[in-house]
Amino acid sequence: MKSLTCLIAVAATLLLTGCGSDLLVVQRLQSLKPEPQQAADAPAPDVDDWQGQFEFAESMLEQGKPLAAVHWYSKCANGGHLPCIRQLGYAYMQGGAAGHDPYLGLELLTQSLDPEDAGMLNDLAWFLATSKISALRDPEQANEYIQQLQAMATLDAMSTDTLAAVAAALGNFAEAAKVQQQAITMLLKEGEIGEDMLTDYRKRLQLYRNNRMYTE
Amino acid sequence: MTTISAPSRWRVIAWVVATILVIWGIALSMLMRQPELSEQSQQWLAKANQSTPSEQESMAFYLMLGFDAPSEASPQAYGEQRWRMHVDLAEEGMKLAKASTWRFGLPCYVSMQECLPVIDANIDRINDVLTEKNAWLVRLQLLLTAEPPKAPEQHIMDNVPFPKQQLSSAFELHLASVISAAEKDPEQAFADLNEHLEHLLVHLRGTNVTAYRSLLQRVLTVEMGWLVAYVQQRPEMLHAATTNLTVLQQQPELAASLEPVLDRNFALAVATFDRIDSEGVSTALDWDLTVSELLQRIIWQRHATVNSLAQGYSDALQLMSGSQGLVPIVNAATSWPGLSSTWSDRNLIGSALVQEKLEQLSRLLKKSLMTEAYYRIAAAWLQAKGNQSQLPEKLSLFGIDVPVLQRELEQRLCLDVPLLESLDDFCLRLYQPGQIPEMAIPDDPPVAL
Repeated sequence: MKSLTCLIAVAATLLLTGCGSDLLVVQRLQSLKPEPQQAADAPAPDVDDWQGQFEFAESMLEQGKPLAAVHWYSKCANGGHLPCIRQLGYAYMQGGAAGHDPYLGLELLTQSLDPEDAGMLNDLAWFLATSKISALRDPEQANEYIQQLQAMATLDAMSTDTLAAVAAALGNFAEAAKVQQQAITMLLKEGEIGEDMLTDYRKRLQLYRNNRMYTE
Repeated sequence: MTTISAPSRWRVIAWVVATILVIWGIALSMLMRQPELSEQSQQWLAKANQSTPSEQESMAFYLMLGFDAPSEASPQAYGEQRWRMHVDLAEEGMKLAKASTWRFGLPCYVSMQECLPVIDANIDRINDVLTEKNAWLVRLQLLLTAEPPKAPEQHIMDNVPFPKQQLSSAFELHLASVISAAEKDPEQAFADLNEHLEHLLVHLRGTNVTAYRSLLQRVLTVEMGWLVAYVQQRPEMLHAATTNLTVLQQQPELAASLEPVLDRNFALAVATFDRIDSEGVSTALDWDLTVSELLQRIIWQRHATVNSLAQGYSDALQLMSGSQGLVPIVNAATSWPGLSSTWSDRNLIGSALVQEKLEQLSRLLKKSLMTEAYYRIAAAWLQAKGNQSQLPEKLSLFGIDVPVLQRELEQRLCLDVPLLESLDDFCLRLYQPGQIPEMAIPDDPPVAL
């Protein structure tokens, strides 16, 4: 209340003295004021409740708290809970809240691989075929994963893109270019794609046509 | 209908005007009233008024600032020239030496674990680079054996180029020289590294230049991390390393106070406040909006700002002494930038300035806490010769006993401190590819027969 009175007095003074433009300054300074702190988190799960810890971590992630999420993933991963090991693996691959440690990340993902999880097979094949770190690249293993995926389900645009990247990593550039062209056609058919994604696919096609592999 | 006679009407108007004027007078006098300076503020101001860097301190400061001088130029003279150009307008016409081109040609970042396997195959190339670039090692040695650089407290360094990249590269080159020397004479190599670390710690504790302190913190963690990874990979070097690195036994805690940096920051802040008073906030802070004198009088309270800043800095020093435990440091480092309680509508300018200072302070706290913890845990691991069963259950950090945690799956050795930025904030990475334990247990509980 006191601060409101103050503000009204300041605003009125400024207007009466012809310094209306000063209000902009006041407004800008006011906007720098931080928002009040958020409420505390929900109570944490029990020490041995791995599934509870996993769910808690997922909820932290949904609330936009990646650091708290990886903290709990790490706890339940060290308890041997596979979904946690998997998520932790992804976190180390990507960096950020877990810190960047792609070697460890890849090893955790390999350890927690579910051979029937199409998404994971695709991700692992992609990492192993396109990693910027040459010591991490393993095109043969990537090929095995993508073949496993092919035997299990029909490839969509994304996994066809991976198939092309694997072929390029193995040095089969003509095949990579052919498969990448198919991926682009599928992507266009699937619809609802962003322009950026299409551009990326096309850039990769150009790389393969120039006998170069793609890394990231 | 009642009518008011002319004299009465004028009297009423006069009363109304007088009342309005009195109200405005009270309101304005209240708005412009300044609080008193707190005792804390007076202490900080007294410290700020004492500061006069000695010639020796200036020499080290110029050595640091001119570290990237071309090979034919003296780093000290180059640094002095650079500084004068910044602070003395009369020197504006001075010609700066041409910036050096910087490229080493080491096979990879030798401090990175991934580089270690590459080193053996490239040791000849590393030796060639070391011979060719030896002048930079001499320059680094010259800087580190001098007094810790202390910047004058009247001028900010924002516009002065800080040779961060060159300094980092020289430290990297120094690690390459340790690797090369260790191949020939491990005892001597680690004795030299010990001396290097001793100087580094002295500089880290003594400098008042925030950018340099921050660089040294990074260098220290990189060097300790490299040391751990190196002896993991080359266990035959462990004995030479642990016996010659006496600094780890003698100074197992970094204990680098924030005081030198905060003293200078405070003095610089006061210099800014002086400029606000004399030149107006728009000029002093280089704002794109002009603030009228009246508004500045209403929303700028110098004493309140000084009090708030002195309080924040005193709190930071108090926290870093460890007297309140580690959790309050973590809480302060995460919550200070978002503190709305430091805001006052009667001191909007001061609140914004303090807010910015608190954000910087929070970064300093975070970095300091993480560096202290990393140095502590790496020193302990090396002292235990890499044998984790020999490690104590707790390690002392700022005089507080902190439990040591092992994250077996990720091969991390950590101090049990709430996280700040990342899962590895307070951890030593001991990860060796292909050696993570098989942690997986059945996700479904076993069925009772």
